[in-house]
Amino acid sequence: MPPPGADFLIVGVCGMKKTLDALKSRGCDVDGALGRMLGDADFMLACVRMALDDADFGKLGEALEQGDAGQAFERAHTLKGVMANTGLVPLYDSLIKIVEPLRAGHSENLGGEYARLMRLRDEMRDITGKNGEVR
Amino acid sequence: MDRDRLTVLIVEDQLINRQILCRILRDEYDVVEAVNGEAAMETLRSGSEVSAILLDIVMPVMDGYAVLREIKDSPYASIPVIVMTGETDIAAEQKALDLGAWDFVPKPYQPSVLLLRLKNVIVRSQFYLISEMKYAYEHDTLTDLYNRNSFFSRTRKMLEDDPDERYALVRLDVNKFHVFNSYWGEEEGNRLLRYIADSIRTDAKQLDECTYARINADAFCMCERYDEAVINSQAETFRQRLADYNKDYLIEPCVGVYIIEDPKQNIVTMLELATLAAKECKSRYMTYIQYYHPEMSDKVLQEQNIVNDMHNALEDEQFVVYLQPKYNLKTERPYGAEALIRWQHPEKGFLSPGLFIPVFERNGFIGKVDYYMWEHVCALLRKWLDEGLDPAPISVNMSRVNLYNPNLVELLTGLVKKYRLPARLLNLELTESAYMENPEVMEKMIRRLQAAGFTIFMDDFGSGYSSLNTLKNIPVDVLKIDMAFLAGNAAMGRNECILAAVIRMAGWLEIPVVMEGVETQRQVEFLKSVGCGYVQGYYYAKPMPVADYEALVRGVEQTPAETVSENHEVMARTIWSSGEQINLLFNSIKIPAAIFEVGDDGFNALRVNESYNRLFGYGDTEDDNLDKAYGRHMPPESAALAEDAFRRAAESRSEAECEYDIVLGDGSTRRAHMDIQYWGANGNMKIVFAMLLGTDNQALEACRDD
Repeated sequence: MPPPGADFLIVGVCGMKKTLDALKSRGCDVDGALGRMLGDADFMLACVRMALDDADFGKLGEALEQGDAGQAFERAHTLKGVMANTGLVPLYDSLIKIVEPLRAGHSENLGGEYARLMRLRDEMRDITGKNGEVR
Repeated sequence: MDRDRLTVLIVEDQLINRQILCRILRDEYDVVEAVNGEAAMETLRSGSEVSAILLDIVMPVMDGYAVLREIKDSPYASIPVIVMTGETDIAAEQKALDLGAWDFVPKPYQPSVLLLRLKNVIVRSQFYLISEMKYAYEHDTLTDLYNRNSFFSRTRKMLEDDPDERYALVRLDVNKFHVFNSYWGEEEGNRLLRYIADSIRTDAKQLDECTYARINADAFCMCERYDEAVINSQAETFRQRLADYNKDYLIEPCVGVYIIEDPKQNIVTMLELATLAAKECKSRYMTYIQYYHPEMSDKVLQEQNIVNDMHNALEDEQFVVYLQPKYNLKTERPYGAEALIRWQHPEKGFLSPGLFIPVFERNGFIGKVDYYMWEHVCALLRKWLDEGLDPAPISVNMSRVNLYNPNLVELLTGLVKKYRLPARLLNLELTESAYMENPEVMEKMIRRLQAAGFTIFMDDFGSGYSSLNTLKNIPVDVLKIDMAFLAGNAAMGRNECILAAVIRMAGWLEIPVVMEGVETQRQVEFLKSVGCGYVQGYYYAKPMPVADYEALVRGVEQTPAETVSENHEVMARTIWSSGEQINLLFNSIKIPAAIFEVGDDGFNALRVNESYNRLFGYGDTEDDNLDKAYGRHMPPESAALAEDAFRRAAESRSEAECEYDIVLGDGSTRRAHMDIQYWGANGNMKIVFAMLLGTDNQALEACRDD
C-alpha cells in the first residue's frame, strides 16, 4: 500500500513532469534551467512562475505606449535576463526583438511584438498555473 | 555565518536572479544580497567581510558602472568584482573592465562556469593582497624606494651572489636637513626626499648590480660595485642635482663611502661605518664626500671612552686647574692668569683639552666642568687671600651652555659669596661667536654680570663675522685677540696694520687688549710699538700647575697696564663725535685746522675742518686718506719739518711751530706756518692740534671756491 498522501505525491510528481514537458514542447530550455538551479524542479518552477508574473511586463507596455525608449529598454533588458535564467526561450527571443531597437533609441512599431510577448506569457502562465514562494 | 566560508555580495535588482544565484552559491559561500548599487555600497561600508562581488549592470537607483566607479578608489578596491551581463556588447565589457571589473559571467548563468570564475578571482585577489602587504613591508611609503630592512636583505643576497667583486656602501644625506624642514615645512621636506629618491633611482639604472633604499629621515643608501671614479662622479652629480633643486636655498649633500673589505660583515655595521664617514663631511667645510678610514672609528671609540670616564673624572677630581699668566707688556711682569683645564687620567695619563673639550661641548657636560673650574679658581683665590696675599684676577672660561643659562648670574654670585671674594677677582671670558648667536640676550646677561662686579673678557675677538657690530653693542671690559690673526695673509704688513688700528680703537674705547699666543720677540716688539696692554703666550710663560704659578708670582708686584690715556675723555669726545655742536665748533674755526696722532712710525690726520679741506681741494671732512693727501701736498723735506715739530710738541707736551712749503690744490706752492699744540695721548700715540697760516700770519687762501 502506498503511504498516506502518496497519491497526492504521485499525482504531484506526475503533474510536475507534465508541466516541464509542456514547457519543453513550447520551446523552453527546461534542462538548462534545471541545471542552473542544481536540478531542483520545484525551485525552478517557482522561479518560472515568478518570472511570468514580473511587474516589468506591464511597465514595459506603459513605457512603449509613452514612447519612452530609455525606460522601455531597461525593462526589456531586465526581463530578457530573467527569461534567460529561467529558460523561457520563446519570451527571451521575443524580448531580443524589442531590446535591440530600443537600444538604438527606437520605440515605435514595437507594439506588435509586445503583444506577441504578452500572448506568449499568457500561454506559459497557463502551462505553469499559479506562481508560488521559492523559499 | 560559518567562519570558514567566504562571503559573496550579490548585487542584482531582480529577485529571481538573486534567488538563482543564491541557489548556485549556497553550498560553498555565504551570500549577502543587495537590490541595487546603493544598497551594495551600504553593505560594504557596514563592514561586512566580502570576498567577492557579483554585480549586475542595469539596476535602478545606482547601476553597476556607478558601483565600479565608487569602489575603484575606495578601501574596497581590492575586492574582486565579477560583472553579470546579458550583453555581448564589447563596448560595455570594456567599460566595465576599465572601471575595474575583474571578470564577466553571462546570463543565463552557467553554474559551473560561475563558480570557477568566482573561485579564480578570489584566489587572485588573495595573492594580490599578500603582494600588497609584501610591498608595504619592503618599501618606504614616502619615496617608494626599498626600506631599511629590505635593503639589508637584498644587499646580503647581492654580496653572496657576487663574491668575487668588490662592493662599496654609499650613504647619502642632506646636510642640515632639519633646518630645511623647519624653514620650508614638512611638505616641502617630503618633496625634497622624493626628489632625492628619483635621483637615486636614475643612478641605479646605470649600474649593473646595486641595491638602494631610503634608510630613515633624509638618509639614503646604495650598495654598488666599487669604482672610485664612478662613485665620485655620482656624488658630484648628486651635489649638482641638490644645488639645482631650490635656487633660493643651497642644499648640500653629505656622502659617506665604506669600501667593503669583508662581504660577510654585518650590513648594519657597514652602514654605521659609512655613516661615520658621512659625519666627517659635516665637520669639514666644502667637503661633501668622505671615504671611511679606520681612524674615524678610533675617534668614535676615543670619544666613547671619554664619555664613559667623564663623570668619575669630575667626582674624583681628575680635572686640574692650570694657570697661564698674562703679562703687563710695559712692566713685563705677570698680572693675573687664565685658568685652563687639564685632565690627569689615572690610567691614560695627561689628556689634552683638545681631546675632551669638544666632546663635552657636544654632549653638554661642559656646563658641569665649567662650574667645577670656577669653583676651584674661587677656592684658590680664597686660599691666597687667607695667606695674606693680594692676588691679581684669574679669568675663567664660559661655555655656550652656561652663557645661555638663565641662572648664570646667580651661579656666579653664589660662588663668589661662598668663597667670600670680591667679584673683580674672578674674570669671565666669553667667546665672540657666542655673542653673535643671540646678541640681545648676551647684552642683558653681560650687563647683569658687570653690575654684579665681574669683569668681562671677549675672547677670540676678530674671529667672528661682525666683530665691529658686536663691539658697538656689547659692553665688554677687555678684548682678547689671538696672534693667529696675524698669520696667513700674503700682503706684507696688512695684518699688522689692521691689528694696530684695532688696538688703537680699543684704546679710544678704554678697553684693554690681551694678545694671546705670543711666541716670539718680534711679536712682542711689534705689540709694544702699537700700545698693546697685555700679552699671554709661550714667549713669557706656558700654562703651568698652580704651584708653579704661585712660585712665579711670589714677591712680584702685579700691576695692571694703564688703560686710560691722558686727556682721553675730552679728546675722544671731540675727535670721534659726529654730533652737531662739535662739528659746528670745529668747522667754525676759519683757519685750516687738523688733529693728528703722532707715533714712532709717523703721523696720521684724525680729523680736519672744512677750511683745511677747501685749502687743499678735498670734498669731505672725514676723508680717510687725508694723511696720504697731506703728504701729497708737502715736499718730503717739508714733511720732515712738520713731523719734527709734531714730535717736539708731543715730547714737551706743549707748543711747537714750524714753516714749510705746501702745494695747494691748484698746484701752486705756498709757504705755510703751522702752530701745534699738544693735546693728549692715546696709548703710545700723542695727539696734537695744528693750525695753518700764511707766513705773514694771514689766512692761507683757498685753492677753489666752495
